[in-house]
Amino acid sequence: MTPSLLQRVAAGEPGAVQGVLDQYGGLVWSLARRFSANQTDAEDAVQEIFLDVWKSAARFDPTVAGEATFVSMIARRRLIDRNRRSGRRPGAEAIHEGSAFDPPDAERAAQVSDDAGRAARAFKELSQEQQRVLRLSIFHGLSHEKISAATGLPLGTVKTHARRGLIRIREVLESDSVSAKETVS
Amino acid sequence: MSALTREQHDRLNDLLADRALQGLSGAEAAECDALIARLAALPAGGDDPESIDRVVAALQVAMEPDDAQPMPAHLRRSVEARARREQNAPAPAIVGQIRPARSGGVSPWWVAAAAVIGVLVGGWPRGASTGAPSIAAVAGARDVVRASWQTAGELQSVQVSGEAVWSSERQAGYMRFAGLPVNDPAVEQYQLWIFDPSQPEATPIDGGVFNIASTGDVVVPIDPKLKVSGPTLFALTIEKPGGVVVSDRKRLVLVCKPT
Repeated sequence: MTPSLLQRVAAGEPGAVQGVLDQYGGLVWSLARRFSANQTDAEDAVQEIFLDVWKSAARFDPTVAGEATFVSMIARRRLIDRNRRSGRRPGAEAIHEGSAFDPPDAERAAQVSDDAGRAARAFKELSQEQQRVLRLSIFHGLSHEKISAATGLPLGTVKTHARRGLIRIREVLESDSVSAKETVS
Repeated sequence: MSALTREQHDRLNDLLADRALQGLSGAEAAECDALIARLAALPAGGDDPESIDRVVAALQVAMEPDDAQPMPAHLRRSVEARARREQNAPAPAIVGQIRPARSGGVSPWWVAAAAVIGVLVGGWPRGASTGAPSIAAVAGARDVVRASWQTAGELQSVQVSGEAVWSSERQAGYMRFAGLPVNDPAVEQYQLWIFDPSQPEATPIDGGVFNIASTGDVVVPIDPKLKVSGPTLFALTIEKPGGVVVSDRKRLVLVCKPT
């Protein structure tokens, strides 16, 4: 099996870092800009994220998640951590950046990453309210409190939609994974 | 170990969802870790505690617009340069002898921990040898704080570099030094102090006593004697052998303040 970009980074292979930046630089930059207060903050965040990516590359397991998901997970953790430390979170004004309520395009997502495509398909099966809450939270980075204020939903309902929606998608992904293993065997 | 009640299971799922979506406070993270530990101790184990994080990350990828802009060229050059530095950095030597303050001898546990950390903190993961828990895992912790050392007092004019890295969630961290003068353990030792909201400023947390045997790149694990909830300042003093309970701070030599 051909080693993935992150596995090549972990092995210290020349050109692997450039490959990761070609493939995921735009994703990380996009996330950092949306979750950061300004350009300088976003650039600092990108530096920290990729440092984490290089140091974590050896932990990447392609049987558990796709590379884009792995990089996105590291990026989100770092950005959430930075925002918690600074006491900053994206505000409700962020909702106006882009289309807040469009469901993700599963076919396009699948081209980037298989698990992103499957997650997008499972997302579309959620209730409209669950989709709305998760999109505001994940894409726009709003806190539960701000989602409650922006949507008029009670805070408890926002939390329940988020939890149940994520658990439902996890169930679908795990079920897909079991089916795939049974097909192989 | 008993199974979680339905309420505890729901609470864990709430915490895992919150962790993935917006992060947790220190108290929530501790509660989450405790519930995960209880589940993990059961014969059947539990759901992978990172599974919700992966769902959110996969959705994040799916939601990204097609027309994402590439990162600016100057930023990319900077990221590449830093990657090269990490890749070429020699593995740091573990030469700091770690021992708890005021104890009689070197703890084998600490020697082992220092050795593990020394192997794994080499900056750049090399092959599959870095799969175990490691400094990289501490650095990847969601609440990790890091700050660069600044010299003070008698080391004001000495070139010392490095950083302190800490995760309150994991209660683990390390210090990295280059250029810190070698000490004579029979005469004096370095002692770390951690300023934390849980303690009065006059009595910061003792972070451990250690020796430096090389001015090269050195990594020393942090050894707090109390739980650290959110360090606001790390300070290094030189003290008598064995360290002290409360420092007079007359020989404060390094400080770093997490941002």
